[in-house]
Amino acid sequence: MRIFSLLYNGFIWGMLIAIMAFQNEWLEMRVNIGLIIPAVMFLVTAVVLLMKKPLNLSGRFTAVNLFVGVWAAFLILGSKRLLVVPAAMIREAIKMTDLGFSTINLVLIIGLIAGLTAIWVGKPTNQ
Amino acid sequence: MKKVLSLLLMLVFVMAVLAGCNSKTTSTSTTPADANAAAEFKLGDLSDSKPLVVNNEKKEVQYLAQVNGKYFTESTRHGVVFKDGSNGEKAVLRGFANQNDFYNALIEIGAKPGNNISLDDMKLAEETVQGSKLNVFVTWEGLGKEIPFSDILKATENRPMDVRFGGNLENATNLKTGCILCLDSCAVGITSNAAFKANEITTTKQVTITGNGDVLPQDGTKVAVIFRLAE
Repeated sequence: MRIFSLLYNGFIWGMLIAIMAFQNEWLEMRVNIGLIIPAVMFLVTAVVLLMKKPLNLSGRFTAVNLFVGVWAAFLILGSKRLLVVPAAMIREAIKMTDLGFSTINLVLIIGLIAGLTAIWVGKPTNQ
Repeated sequence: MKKVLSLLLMLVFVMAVLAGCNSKTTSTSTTPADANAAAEFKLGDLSDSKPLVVNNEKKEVQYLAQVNGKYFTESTRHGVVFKDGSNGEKAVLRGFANQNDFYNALIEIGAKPGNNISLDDMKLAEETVQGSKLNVFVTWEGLGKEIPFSDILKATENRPMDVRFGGNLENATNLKTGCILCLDSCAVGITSNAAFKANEITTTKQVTITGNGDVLPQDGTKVAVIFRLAE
C-alpha cells in the first residue's frame, strides 16, 4: 500500500507538472508532455523509497493532495480545458489517440476515487 | 536490498502499464473514433486502406484525416499532420497518409513545389512560402458539401488562407514531423499558408489559431481534406 500511495500521489504531482508544462506552447508543440507523469511517479517513489527515514503518505494527506491538485488544475486550465487537456496528454502519452476524452476522463475519475478509497481504508504500513 | 527490489518492481510496473497501453487494443468506448476503428471506414473514394486518392482529372488530392478535439481549446500552427510523424498529435487534423506519399500525390496532379524557405528562415518570420496555389476544402459524412479549410479554424486575426505547395521534401524526410499542412509559411510542411510569414504564429505570438468546435464534428470523427490545384 505504501508504494501504491507513492505512485498515486506521484501521479497527481506528475499531472500537475505536466499541466503547467503544457501551458508553454513551445514545449507543448515539441514534447510528448504526458510522459512527464510516469517520470514524476517514478522519481517520487524512488526518492521516497531511498530516503533513510521511511515516509508514509497517509489517506488524509492523499485526499488533501488530490483536492489541491484538482483545484490547481482548475485554476490553471478553467472548466472547459480541464475536460480536454489532461485527457489529451494521457492519450498522447499512451499512444491511444482513438480513445475519446470522455472515456479517459471517466477512467481517470473512477481510478482516482478508487485509488483514494484504497489508500484511505488500507493499512498504513512501512512495508 | 528490499528498497532496491521495490524500486525495480515499481519500474517494471510503470513500464508494463506504458507498454500495455501502447499496444493498440480494441476498446469499449463509444466515441466516433472507436466506431470508425471498428470496421473499414469509407468516405467517398477514401478508406482506411486508401487514405490518399489522386484525381488527375479534377487535379485534386483527397486525404483522410481525423479531428483532434484537443485543438478546439488549444492553439496550434499545425493544420494537418500525419499521425505517425513527431508532430502527429499537434494538429487540428490527424492525417492517415505520410508526408512523402502526399508530396508525390501533389507532383502527380502537376503541382510545382516552391522549396524557397530554409530552416534558418523559420527564426526570422520574413519569408513567405511559394509554390503552386492549392484550394483546400474539408468534408465529412453527413455534411453533404465541401467547406473551405479556413472555416474549420478560429483565428484571433482573420487573413484569407493562401495554401501553397511548399515542397520541402528533404526537410520533411529528414525531420519526420509528418507535417502535411501548416497554418503559416513553413520550411518543413509539404503545404503551408502564405498568408503568414515563416513560423510567424510561433515567433511573433500575435495570432492564435484553434480548431473551430462550432463547425467541426466531434473529436475522433474522420474527415476528407481535399487539396485542389488552383487554376
